[in-house]
Amino acid sequence: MKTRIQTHIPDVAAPAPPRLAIDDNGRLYAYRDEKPIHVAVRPCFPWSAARRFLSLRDMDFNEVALIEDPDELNDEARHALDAALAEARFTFSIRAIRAIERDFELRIWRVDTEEGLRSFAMQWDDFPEKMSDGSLVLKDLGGDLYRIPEPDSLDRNSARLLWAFRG
Amino acid sequence: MRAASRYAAGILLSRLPAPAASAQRRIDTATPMNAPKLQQNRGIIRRFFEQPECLPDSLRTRLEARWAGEPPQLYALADLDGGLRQTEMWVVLGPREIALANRESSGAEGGSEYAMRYIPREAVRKVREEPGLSSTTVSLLAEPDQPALAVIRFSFRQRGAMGAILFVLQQQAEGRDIHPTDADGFYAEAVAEPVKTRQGSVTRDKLSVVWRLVGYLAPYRASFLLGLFAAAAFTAITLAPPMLTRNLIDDIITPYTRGDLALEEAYRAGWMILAILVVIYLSREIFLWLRLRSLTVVGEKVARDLRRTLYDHLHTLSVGFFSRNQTGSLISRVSSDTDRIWDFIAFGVAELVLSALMLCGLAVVLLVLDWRLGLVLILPVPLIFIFIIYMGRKLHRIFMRVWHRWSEMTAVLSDTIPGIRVVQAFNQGDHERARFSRRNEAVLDEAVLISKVWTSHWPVIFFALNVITLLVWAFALPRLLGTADTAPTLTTGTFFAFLLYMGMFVGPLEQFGFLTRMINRSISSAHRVFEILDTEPEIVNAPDAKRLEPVEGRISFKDVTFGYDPVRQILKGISFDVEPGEMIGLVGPSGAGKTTVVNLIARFFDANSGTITVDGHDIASLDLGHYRAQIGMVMQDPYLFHGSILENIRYGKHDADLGDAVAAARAANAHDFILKLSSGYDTVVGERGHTLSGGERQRISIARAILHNPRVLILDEATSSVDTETERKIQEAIDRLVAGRTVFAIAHRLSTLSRASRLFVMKDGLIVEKGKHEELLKVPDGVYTRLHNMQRELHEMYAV
Repeated sequence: MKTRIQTHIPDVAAPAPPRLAIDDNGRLYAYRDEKPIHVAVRPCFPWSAARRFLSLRDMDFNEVALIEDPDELNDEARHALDAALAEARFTFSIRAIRAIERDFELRIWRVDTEEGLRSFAMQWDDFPEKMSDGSLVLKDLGGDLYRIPEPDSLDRNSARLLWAFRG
Repeated sequence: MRAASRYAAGILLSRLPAPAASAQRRIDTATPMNAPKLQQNRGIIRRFFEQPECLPDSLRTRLEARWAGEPPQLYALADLDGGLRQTEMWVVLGPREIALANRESSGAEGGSEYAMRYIPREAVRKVREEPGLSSTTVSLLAEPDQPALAVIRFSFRQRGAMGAILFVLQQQAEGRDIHPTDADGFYAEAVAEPVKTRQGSVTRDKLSVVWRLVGYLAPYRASFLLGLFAAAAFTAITLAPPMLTRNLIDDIITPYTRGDLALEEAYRAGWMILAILVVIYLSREIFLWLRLRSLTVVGEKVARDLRRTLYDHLHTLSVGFFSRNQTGSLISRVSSDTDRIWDFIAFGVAELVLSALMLCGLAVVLLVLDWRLGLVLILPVPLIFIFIIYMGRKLHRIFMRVWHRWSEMTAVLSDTIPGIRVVQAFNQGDHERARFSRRNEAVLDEAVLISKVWTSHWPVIFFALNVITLLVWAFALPRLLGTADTAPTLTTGTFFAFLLYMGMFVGPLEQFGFLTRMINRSISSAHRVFEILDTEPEIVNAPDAKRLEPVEGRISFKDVTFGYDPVRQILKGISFDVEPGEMIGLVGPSGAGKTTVVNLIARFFDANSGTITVDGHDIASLDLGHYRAQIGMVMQDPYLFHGSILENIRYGKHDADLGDAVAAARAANAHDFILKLSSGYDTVVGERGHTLSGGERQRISIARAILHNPRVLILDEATSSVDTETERKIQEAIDRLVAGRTVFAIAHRLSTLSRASRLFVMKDGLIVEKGKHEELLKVPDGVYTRLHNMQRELHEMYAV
């Protein structure tokens, strides 16, 4: 594990990384003194540095460990962490836009996602947010997030429909 | 668990903005949702989400057979599988077990096959939620850190419906049984709710909204009809001058030049036409004035009525409503939305009538004048109209981009101008200037694009009109001049009138494009206004509400539970009795439920279950206004209104005499600092009293409470965030204020509660310890003892 370069910032020590494993249900466990603790992954930077600084939290939201870089973990732990991280960072991924319809005060987006066909509603004056990696993220009324990873690679019709909403 | 629907747990759930309290239902309600509402919700699910609108019949039948005919209590869709792909797994809460039905394939005859799992309800002792960015994973557990009985994954859309199930399971694990009875209604409402919330509780039918708005015109119908009549008359009169011009040319000038009319006769007739034109132009302007005057005044009166009704109604709504809705949004409904409605009534209605009449009138006049030329002129009009609509849509798409860029640019302003001290303190002026400049440039890019499209729009329209003009000329010329064999069949005057009428076509066509946007915006505004008006107060007076004369201040809680959302219970069954004149200190860590207790005492919310009594009467049976008048509150961040200090002190008792106001200020240790201000008690404090320090504002709020003379007093962190000397003065003032009243005081600094009769120590929604300061300190490892020791150590560590 990397040693933090000495800076002027007071060092509040984070707990050291424990052994990690994942069960058949996809639940992540951290082992402290060989005792399994069910933990959840909370990425510190889910958009800007998704695989760095991962906080593992127990049922009472106490921090069990802070993993700065999963690549420094052993294979088993890294695999377990990546699986849990995929779940924590899950968003629908839009492949194509079929239609954008107007309704009173709302717009209905009908899209093909990696996860299957999906329709969702946004407020008529809500726009996709442009992320630092160039992707666009749309948030629907229920709070679900839809990501367009490469807006420039969309098919012609999708690009035409999206044009008015691109910032 | 933070399920995002106020619907599921019943009672008052406040995380999502709620359109109407009438939509709030208890989870154990015995009354199923009425059929039209259920159908409406299912319609929304079909239109917006394309997910099943209810539990499939085959599955329901199968489960009811297993449960001896008992229907599902609740159900929800888990729409993600273990690999986070979309799936259809139903989670169904039965009377004794939970069924997990995973749709595997379509069976014979189009039916569906489900892989079933059943979990006994009593086996679930814990529910763990792990929210991600756009999905939630829930583990049903027998014991923490043991393998899960089941793991369910779902998108946020399903949180409301799923939250209700998890709430029931959690309650059961804590020994409280809930028996929901309207599974279909809950599922449909929970999924459809976000759409209904955004679209409002009122009808989506635009015509209905317009008709409702028209209802507000009823008291002013005479003026309104007069305005419409004036608009119609104005239009009719506007059509007359070209016709008279035709008469002038055909009946006077042409006959005179041919020698068919004597000079005197020509002059007489010419002057007559001019006189008629003078009358026409004068009366046209009179009708214009009449129209503007009548309709703008009617519009103002309707806007005034709406603002008054809306503001009156806002005052009847409960605290929960205001916590669910953003202040800015509410203010804009009272101000800019009513202003848009005025705009519509004052100008939109008249312009609409005028434009429609003008187009119809023009068509009739032209056909009457010369039907063949009339057709040449009228037939292309729909094409121009379609072109204008097409251009409107195209411009709308570009405008959307401009709005987006514009809002990004203004976001920098609203960020940095209020925070200018931080910007300057961190020397970030250059950074912020560059950020603004980038966004300003982006606005320019889009604005240039709009200009390009917009500027190409007009030449196209005018070119089309010119083409029509050429066509008219082309058709008219042979008829004007005639041929070698035929005499002219079209008079110069008629042709000239045609040319004049042609110019009149452009205005109404343009107006329609503009009016479409205006009407849509006004209907949206009316909709937002009606949405508030249709929101019913959550806290209302009972039919025979009692007035306690006087309130003695004996307050009891019995098994009171309360939560703001479906699953997270803030108060978990607390009970206490407080005698009149007692001072109760509420202590405990943040989130323990202290503020919720005082909110319930003030009846800002109603308890989910259990009873609260005041002097032996159920709090819900008391006259709300009268009861609240007996309650005083001194908050951590006291709110002062824009006005003089005197007005602020007398806020709860406007007719208090000056001597009482001064006495109250003296008692509150405010008198001295008030007199240091040059205008004394008449000093106007700015919005929220920002011209005063925190301690000064606090002492004015205490003076206000002293003058108000409440029987029950609530002190919520009244002495936090002030320096020691100010705290001493405030504490002194509070000591004078609390005498003889029932007091509930919340404080983190335990030293400020030294005079409390009893302390209630709260933790996780429960009262874990009760007693006097000395008694509680005798409990080793008690929560209060730990808090006390911690504060003592801190004090010793940082004491100077």
